Amino acid sequence: MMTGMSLGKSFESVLDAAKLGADWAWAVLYGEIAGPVMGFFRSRGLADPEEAAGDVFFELARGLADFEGTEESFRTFVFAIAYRRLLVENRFSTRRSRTLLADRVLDRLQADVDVIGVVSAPEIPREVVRAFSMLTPEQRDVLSLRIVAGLSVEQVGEVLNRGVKKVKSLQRRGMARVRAQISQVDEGFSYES
Amino acid sequence: MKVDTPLRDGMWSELIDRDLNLLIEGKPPLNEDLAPLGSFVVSLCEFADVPVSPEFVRDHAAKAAANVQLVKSANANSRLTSSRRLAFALRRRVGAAATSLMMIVGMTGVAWAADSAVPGDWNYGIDRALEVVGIGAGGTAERLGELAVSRGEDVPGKSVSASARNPEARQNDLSDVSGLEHATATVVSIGSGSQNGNEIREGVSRLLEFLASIGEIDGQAVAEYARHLRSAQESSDSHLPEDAGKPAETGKPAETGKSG
Repeated sequence: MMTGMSLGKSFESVLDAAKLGADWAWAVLYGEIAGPVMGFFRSRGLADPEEAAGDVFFELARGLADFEGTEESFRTFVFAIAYRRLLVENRFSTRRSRTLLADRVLDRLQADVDVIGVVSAPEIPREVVRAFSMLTPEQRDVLSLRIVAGLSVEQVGEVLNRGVKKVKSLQRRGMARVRAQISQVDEGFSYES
Repeated sequence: MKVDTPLRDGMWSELIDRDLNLLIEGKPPLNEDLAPLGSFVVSLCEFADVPVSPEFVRDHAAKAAANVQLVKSANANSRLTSSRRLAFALRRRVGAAATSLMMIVGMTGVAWAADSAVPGDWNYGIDRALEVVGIGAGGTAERLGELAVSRGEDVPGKSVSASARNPEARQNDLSDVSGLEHATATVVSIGSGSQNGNEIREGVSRLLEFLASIGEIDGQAVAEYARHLRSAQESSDSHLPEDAGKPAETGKPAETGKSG
């Protein structure tokens, strides 16, 4: 279920090569992490997840020389960049439009993925999207990073610059809200995709 | 929207966290009431299942690698630039420190030189100004020394009198005596004949006699003025002077028609 990286022992050598600018190393890193990064942006309703992911890798290329750490901390590093990118996007989109977030997210997530390079993305059930869109932005941040990005509670805390207790609290409240949504739906509701 | 769920009430947060972690890891939770959330988690995970074509990966990887080279060369240039910037900043700071030091030394020197100044010296004003802010304030001893110098006396440590240092200082002392003479003559000339005028002259006459007795200014001259005043008062008792009210000539008592 967790969408973690799986380079294992080879991570160090891949990282060193990527720091030197080796194409193959970047291809490995990109192949491992591009999906979760784009998924994170998709779950947050970004119009162009691919472009946002490209920006993240551009920033990653600029800052990789200073990075030292494990595969786990590398993942935290990448999603910290992705989260900053999301904040920038949200700031601009708030200025551009004042439409209801839930509807906007819903529309974008239901739209067919029509991006060059991305073969096809699975369709997310409308009910899931609706339940997710009913959460507060903070709860969405936590659940996206926990479930879609596959980060641990501690890693999410680092990305969001929050304490572990706060992250756990947001996770509980978010899940409680989703559970309440499930209780309210009619018999036809199903999470089966 | 407030719905009672086990997540909200009646469960310990530790147990909830444990179950939620199990759910997120794709395992069934111990609490069956949370089981419906399993499908939600699975569906949410599908956001990350974005199949990416090999061409797409290759293209973006090449761009990222090119960016790394770009950043490396930019860093190399910026290192040179930063060393130059450091040298410039260092030079500027050293210059500022030297200027500050020179200003402090200069101000200390001026304060030291002005501390021994006496009235009549060009830097006496600086000395007094610095003493106002508490720099080089010699207190009563310095004031007495300065007073002695201003009166033309030699005091230990101030062997040269102000008049010797500055001839104008002695001139000032003389002008004080002249001023006294002028004031006395004016007093003699005003109000002659009137009751108030006589009283004023009487008072001034006594003051001058007192000053003559204690030796202030010039005893002989003061005694002479007092005598003039006395005779003027006596004559005004019999008749009014012709030039009553006329200002006196500087340095001389006013003419009252009768000299003592």
